[in-house]
Amino acid sequence: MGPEGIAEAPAGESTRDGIFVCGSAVGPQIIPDCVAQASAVAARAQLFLTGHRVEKHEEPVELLDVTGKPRIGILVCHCGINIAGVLDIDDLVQYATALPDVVAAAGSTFACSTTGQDELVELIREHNLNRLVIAACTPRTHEPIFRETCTHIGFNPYLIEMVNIRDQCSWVHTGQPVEAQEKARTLIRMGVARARQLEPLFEGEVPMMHSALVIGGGIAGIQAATDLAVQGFPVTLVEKEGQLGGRLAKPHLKYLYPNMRPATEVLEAKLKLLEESGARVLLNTDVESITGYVGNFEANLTGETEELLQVGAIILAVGADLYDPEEEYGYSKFPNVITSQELETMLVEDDKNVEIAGSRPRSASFVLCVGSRDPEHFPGCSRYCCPTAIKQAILLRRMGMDITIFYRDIRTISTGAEEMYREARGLGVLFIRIPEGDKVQVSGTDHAESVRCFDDLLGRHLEVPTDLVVLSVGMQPKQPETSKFHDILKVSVGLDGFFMELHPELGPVETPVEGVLLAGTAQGPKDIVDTVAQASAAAAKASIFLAHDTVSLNPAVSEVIEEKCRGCGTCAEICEFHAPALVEIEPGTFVARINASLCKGCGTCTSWCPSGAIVSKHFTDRQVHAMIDALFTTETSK
Amino acid sequence: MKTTSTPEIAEIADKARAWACYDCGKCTATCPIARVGGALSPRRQVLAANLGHREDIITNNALFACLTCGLCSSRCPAGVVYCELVLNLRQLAFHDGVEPECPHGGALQSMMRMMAKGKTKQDRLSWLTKDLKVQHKKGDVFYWTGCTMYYDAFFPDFNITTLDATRAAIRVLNRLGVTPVVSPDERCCGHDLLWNGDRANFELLARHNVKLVESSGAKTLVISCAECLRTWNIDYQPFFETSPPKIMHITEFMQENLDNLKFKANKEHTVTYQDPCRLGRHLGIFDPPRAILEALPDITLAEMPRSGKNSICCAGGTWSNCDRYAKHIQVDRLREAKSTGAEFLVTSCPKCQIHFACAMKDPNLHEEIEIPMRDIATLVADALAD
Ligand SMILES: Cc1cc2nc3c(=O)[nH]c(=O)nc-3n(C[C@H](O)[C@H](O)[C@H](O)COP(=O)(O)OP(=O)(O)OC[C@H]3O[C@@H](n4cnc5c(N)ncnc54)[C@H](O)[C@@H]3O)c2cc1C
Ligand code: SF4
Ligand code: SF4
Ligand code: SF4
Ligand code: SF4
Ligand code: SF4
Repeated sequence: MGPEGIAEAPAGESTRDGIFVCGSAVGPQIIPDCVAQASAVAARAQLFLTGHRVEKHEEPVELLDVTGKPRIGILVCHCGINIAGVLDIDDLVQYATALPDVVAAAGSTFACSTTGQDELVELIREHNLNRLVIAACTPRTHEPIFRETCTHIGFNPYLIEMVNIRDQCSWVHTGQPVEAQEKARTLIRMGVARARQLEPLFEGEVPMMHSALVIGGGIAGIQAATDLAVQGFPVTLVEKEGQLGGRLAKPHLKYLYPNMRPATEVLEAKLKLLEESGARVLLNTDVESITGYVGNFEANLTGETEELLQVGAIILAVGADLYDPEEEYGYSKFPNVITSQELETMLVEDDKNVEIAGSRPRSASFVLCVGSRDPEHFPGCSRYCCPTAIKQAILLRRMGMDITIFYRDIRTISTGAEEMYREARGLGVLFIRIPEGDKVQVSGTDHAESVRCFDDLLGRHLEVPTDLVVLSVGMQPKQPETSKFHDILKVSVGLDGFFMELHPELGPVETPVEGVLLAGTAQGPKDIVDTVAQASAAAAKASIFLAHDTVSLNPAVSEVIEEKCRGCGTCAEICEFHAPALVEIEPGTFVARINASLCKGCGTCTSWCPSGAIVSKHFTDRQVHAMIDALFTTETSK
Repeated sequence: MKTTSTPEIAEIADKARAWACYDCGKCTATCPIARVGGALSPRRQVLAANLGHREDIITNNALFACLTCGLCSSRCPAGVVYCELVLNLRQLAFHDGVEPECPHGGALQSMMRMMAKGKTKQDRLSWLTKDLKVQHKKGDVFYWTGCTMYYDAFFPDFNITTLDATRAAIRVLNRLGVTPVVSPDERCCGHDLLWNGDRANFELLARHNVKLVESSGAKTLVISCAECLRTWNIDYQPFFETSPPKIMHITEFMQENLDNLKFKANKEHTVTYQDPCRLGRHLGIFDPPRAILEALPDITLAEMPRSGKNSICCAGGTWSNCDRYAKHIQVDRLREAKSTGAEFLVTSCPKCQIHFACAMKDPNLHEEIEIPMRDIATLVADALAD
């Protein structure tokens, strides 16, 4: 236990081998951090387990006969009071019964619960259904559940249509139950119309490469590569510089909060583990391009090592850039205005003395949130800079300097940071709060002499003389890497410009591109504790892919009817995922073909194709038109 | 498969003289689609129509694969009017719920149907420039604009301005002292809907348009678009309540008034001419465009090997089939046009420009098939002496 009485377990490891701690048991934290940490812990726990490869052990099920005229069954879910609190479920069941080709309709308290799933299976079997409509919540989270249940009993999972009467009716129209009811009826009518047109689809399979590529050899990349290699997966870690460590490598960081251990020591320990893990490290090597998909990526490496590398999963750990203040706060003008990184480098050289232009400053001012929490540059909080400034302030204070920290809010989110804050105050570091939207002014003639500001707490203007100004710069998306990998891998980039995770709670290290995971500051500003946890989580998630022998291919993708294709190339040009390509089938005649494993089935090409040559399976024109027609016809006769 | 022969089919086959077919196969040998490998055999369709297997004929893709270019009929020794057969069979198909796979997701057909329903207010004339003299209600000459303003808006990425031809036509009319009626209430002529089988919506458009022109009191109706012209000349005839005005293609009108047009010398140009299928084989208008090109100073016409009656159409086919074979035909045709050494491909139908422009966007062929296109009216307007 740590001093706060909470388990002392940075990055999940406890003081006993084989016992791991995660989530808020480690310290107060928000869900995304808890989830990332939980995945990290799982990865570590895996190391103690053997035989973790996933083998297919399901018995092959006999497929139900789904041919013939549609026999549609409908389950209307109460979702507890989520839906039933606003909508009249009995009315919906009754309404649905009267729709064309519907042979069975029933309500369900929680369709996704075990009981609900049993009812579903019962309904299918009893009425010999060949189509299913589930009026419940969002397919985004729940369709996989229903699909799995159906797959288990041999009912083709692509014959299910989900109608979202929760988010789209009971939730958004809570105050208008009458209209919400009408809308639910309409949506169900449309769902049934589409269900009548659904066709069974079958997932394909391709072999999975069991190896991984980790891009970026900072602390994140090192951790991820180690975790994967220890599990026996062949790992290649590429670093474009001549040494590993990223920001931790000399001459970047001196001591690391919260423990004040020297960065070199931490890095050495990590590098030792990396070496023992057997991961292959390529220095001075960059990634030029990547093609392929989960299980079968092909990366073109350039630099010291040039090769075509085939891997099953990729971890992006390219780190972040630091904000460049340029003219701000006299940075380009005054020699004694420096960034927190520059101060850190000076501390690496000498942590007892700081010298600026040959003289030792007697006072120093820190300006926080430089380039962060600023709608013009980066609206978010960089998270690491408050604790870093406090860490640096303590060091300088110990050298005998007078320290003032100009802040907007002090954010001591990470473990141990609040304690450090208290320590700094105890040492006499002055904290001055400036109002939101205000900026301090650094003035002087040939060097900075004072910092002027409006003190939010005192409610008056202040001028603090200073010998040194340290700008606590925020993190910025790493360029050109972020744009480059966004382009070639189609990994999403958020509004803040950093790589964006699939979902903050449900997939904090995953990306929309299967088999591509994120680790460290590449995904957003964070400190080492969080970086390491996230890197382990990414490794754990990657190992889930890598442990399989095959990758199943989503059959709900688009396909070109070659007879109709006029080879205009629009689809190839428009597809974000580079799935379509033109092939010359006879001299001078080109047609497009879509690589099913790259296609996401998004339908963009389908709607752009001038000749109607593309079919988006599972979202065919017929199915969509049937829904639109149903929207505009109100009669419910069979 | 149901094999009920309905009187409707028999009637259709009869009107198109399908009975006269003696199975010589000339049509299939001629058909441009068949020649590039498409599964279309007009001969088989004619025979099937004679046998009267409704479902077979209607669900057979060949019905919508046909370009209705009329080349086969022009070679048929028995005088079978194949396009008529297709036109009427498509109406049957539409009646049975079978529609073509419309290119561009059917958006163009939706626009036409919106105009047919007539409840949408159109801003149809905002392209008129100040120098163009027109009137909106009554006059001796009605100038029919067609839907060029819609096409230019719908195909911005093709870099075509089919409206240039519309403006040029009015400029020439003005020069001849004519202030034509250009109506804000014109609607799509319905040509494509008719050829897609949607007779009901076509009729709505036909009634509206015929009434519009009748109420203008015009004695002459001048039209630039080859498809509109075919529709007015043939398909609208039953809808006139009074005696129809004289319906003329813009080239016919210009030819009639050539003496009153003074041209200035231009830079020398060699051009080649694409006969639109509707203007050429459907209506027999081959000479007026050529007479006009002849009259323009410094313009030399270099004919393509397949021209006039033997011309190959732009393969755009009434927005009902735009596929690999259509593209093949377009590419071949553009190569043919380039082989004449012409600087411009001149045509007199906006659709030819659209479909050829689409083909020219091919990512692999580029200059092999790229050739600037002009509508004939713009050549005339540009050559008018000041
Ligand atoms: C001044 C300062 C002080 C700090 N102090 C602390 C502290 O005391 N405690 C703490 O917890 N955190 C601190 N941090 C934060 C900490 O440095 C980061 O959280 C951490 O280093 C991030 O690690 P990373 O692996 O995500 O990124 P990085 O360390 O930036 O590593 C990314 C690596 O990827 C490589 N790379 C990039 N692109 C490519 C490519 N295309 N191909 C191959 N390789 C590539 C880069 O060369 C680099 O080596 C501090 C940060 C700064 C700026
Ligand atoms: S951690 Fe502190 S200094 Fe950094 S952006 Fe957030 S609030 Fe500002
Ligand atoms: S459906 Fe989407 S992902 Fe698939 S080929 Fe078309 S545009 Fe690309
Ligand atoms: S957009 Fe359509 S016509 Fe063009 S190449 Fe792709 S499939 Fe073929
Ligand atoms: S009309 Fe033209 S496309 Fe149709 S069958 Fe005859 S030749 Fe072929
Ligand atoms: S060319 Fe005329 S006669 Fe010969 S097969 Fe064709 S339709 Fe029959």
